[in-house]
Amino acid sequence: MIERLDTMYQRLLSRNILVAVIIVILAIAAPYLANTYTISLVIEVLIFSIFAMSLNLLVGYTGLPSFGHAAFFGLGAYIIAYVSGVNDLTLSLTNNILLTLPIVIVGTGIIALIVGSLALRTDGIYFLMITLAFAQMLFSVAMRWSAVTGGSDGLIGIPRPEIDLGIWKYSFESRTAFYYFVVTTFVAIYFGLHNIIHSPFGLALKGIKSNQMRMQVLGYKTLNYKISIFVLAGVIAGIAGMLLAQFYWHASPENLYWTISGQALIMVILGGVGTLIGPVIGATLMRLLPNITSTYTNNWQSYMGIMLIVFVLCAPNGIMGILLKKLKNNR
Amino acid sequence: MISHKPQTDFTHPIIRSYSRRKILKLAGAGAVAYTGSLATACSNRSSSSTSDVPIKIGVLLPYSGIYATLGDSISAGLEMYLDQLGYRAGGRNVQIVAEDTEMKPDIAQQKARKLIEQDKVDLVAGIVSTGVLYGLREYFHNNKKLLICANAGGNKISRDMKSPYIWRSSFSNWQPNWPLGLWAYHNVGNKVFMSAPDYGAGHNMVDAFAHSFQSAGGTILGKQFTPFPSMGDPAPFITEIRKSNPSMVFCFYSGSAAVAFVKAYDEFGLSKDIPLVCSGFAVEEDVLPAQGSAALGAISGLHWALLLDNETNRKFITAYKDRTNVDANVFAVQGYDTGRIISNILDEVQGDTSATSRMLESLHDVSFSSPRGPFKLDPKSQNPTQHVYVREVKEIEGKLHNVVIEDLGEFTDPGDNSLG
Repeated sequence: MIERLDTMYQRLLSRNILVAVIIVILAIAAPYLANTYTISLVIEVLIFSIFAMSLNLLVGYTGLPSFGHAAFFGLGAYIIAYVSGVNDLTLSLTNNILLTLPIVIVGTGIIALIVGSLALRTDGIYFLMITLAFAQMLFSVAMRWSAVTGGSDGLIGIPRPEIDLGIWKYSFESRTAFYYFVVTTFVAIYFGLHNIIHSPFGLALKGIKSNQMRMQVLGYKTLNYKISIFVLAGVIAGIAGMLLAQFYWHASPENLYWTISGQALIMVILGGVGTLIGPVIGATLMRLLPNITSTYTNNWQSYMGIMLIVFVLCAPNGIMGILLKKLKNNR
Repeated sequence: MISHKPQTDFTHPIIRSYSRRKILKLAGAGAVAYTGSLATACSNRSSSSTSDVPIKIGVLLPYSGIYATLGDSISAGLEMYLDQLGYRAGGRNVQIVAEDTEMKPDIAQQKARKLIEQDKVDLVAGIVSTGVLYGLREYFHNNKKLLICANAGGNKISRDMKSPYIWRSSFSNWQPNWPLGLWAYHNVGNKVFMSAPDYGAGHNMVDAFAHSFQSAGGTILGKQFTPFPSMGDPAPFITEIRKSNPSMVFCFYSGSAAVAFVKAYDEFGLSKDIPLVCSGFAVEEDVLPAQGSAALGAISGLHWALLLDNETNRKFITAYKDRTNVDANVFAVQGYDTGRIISNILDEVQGDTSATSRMLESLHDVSFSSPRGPFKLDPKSQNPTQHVYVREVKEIEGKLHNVVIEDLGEFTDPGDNSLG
């Protein structure tokens, strides 16, 4: 089912080059068309989209129900806070994205490798519990080890990134510049993931999701595949966390809390498990709807809850599931 | 004509928390203000277009989650003060635009952007939790927007994290506890065990109390920091306290954790032998009804008490009760004073909210008699200089209240970490 949806979606994508061109033009022109608040909402949605896409690699493509993905999101935020933050607790080494990005990637990658090598020896609900436990452990460390992590206050003074080539320097300080930075990162990750998913490696992951035993019999070392994708998902979540911390100038223990993991899972499920664009739609809804409804009512959480229940009951394949089904019927 | 602006704005979301009667009253005020501003347009320094448009005050408070009561109380206090002015200050109409921050720094920042960039509010007030305050600090500092913090007491915002744009109408966590530590050593006991939730405010309050208590010669037998936001089962913590056999216990808790701790302290029989001295929030009017007789005899330090005997307070608590049908609490007082500070600034700049530097300047001279007693803003710590009171929970006419047993005098945050 998922595979078929995905190939259909492929065809859809290639047929709609025109749509793609329009989206690109809109994305470039957005800061000149929309007000600054809208732009900041778009930045947030893109950052959470990256985060949700990374979780979808595990949940949607490999069938690994991680409930602790916030661990890597928060790690990314805290690592960038340490490296670039101007604060009495941080190192304030450099704010050059050419250096900080590799540090975040390597940092989250190593932790993901360690956690993945342990957690991936289990399956299903046990995997879920281990990832949750690991994330909550990090959360506790962030809350309690105040001398290093700033405790419940978090770490402040994280600057927006800059590119420094020695002879040429550019800062993404302004909101418009940072917006382009986030858009570029999003596009790069989106197409990067697109390629990975359709590579033999990506197909092997789908194989593991459908029938791990058969893949093993065919000679695939499934554990290595799973560890690789776990590390990749962790690194991308770390990049999203880094962007969020730079956007807010602040890394907070909330970033590591299980509710963020839960939110990401809802984004993936709501949007459509196992499609690239699904988590992006889910992230858009999950970030924008509470923002809009909470302005009008203090009971907004109840409405969100009802909406989620309706979605799960009526659209088990998420919004992408509905869209693709409709498209198929029209044809 | 611009005159439509105030009316159309009454459909704005803030009105959600208003009764229909209030909306009508506001609309009436708007109409009066419009005719009024026409008459004064010539004499007013600012252009007529600014004086016709209401001044918008953004409010960032938790209206859902564990701090909802605090948010509601601050809101009610603020609205009550503005209502007493007929929602007028600095010669212009004043309007509130409120947003729910929960207690999440990221949501709070999103809402702050909405208020400032989309709703174009002139200044922002509110903020209950310190995590949210610290998360917003850079945004307000970088955007040069005025934020009046009506609760969150994190010491750093009066010290190394100070911003010229962030002032506080509430307290610093150091403020009520340092004087209390000194007083407790001389009046209650010389060996203390300390208990607080494991987050910024808990550590701030424990450090302040410990500093003055130790400097006076007291001994700290132990400190325990319990999980935050939910303490879970208090029994093991109470057992740890009993084992250390102190001559008094100092604690800081608030909301449901305060209820759980104080009740457990009584149920395990500690309240009979070991006096409980606490930060005022642990036995404040918002939690006292739920704590019931378990709180009897608890001694606390705070910058206000319901039965504090001064004229402003008598009027305040009566008016608040009439308006909301519940007793006032310290958060409502802070909201009320926030309204007063805002109206002071607006009067000072004659409603010209574009004069940010003059607004900031005028904060240096804010001084009035608050329900808390004499109140002024300290330009160094950008935090109030105010009296701290020792209070004891007593039963009065069948209800539990905090009764002031001693006025410790006026205190100002030191502005650095020299005193804890």
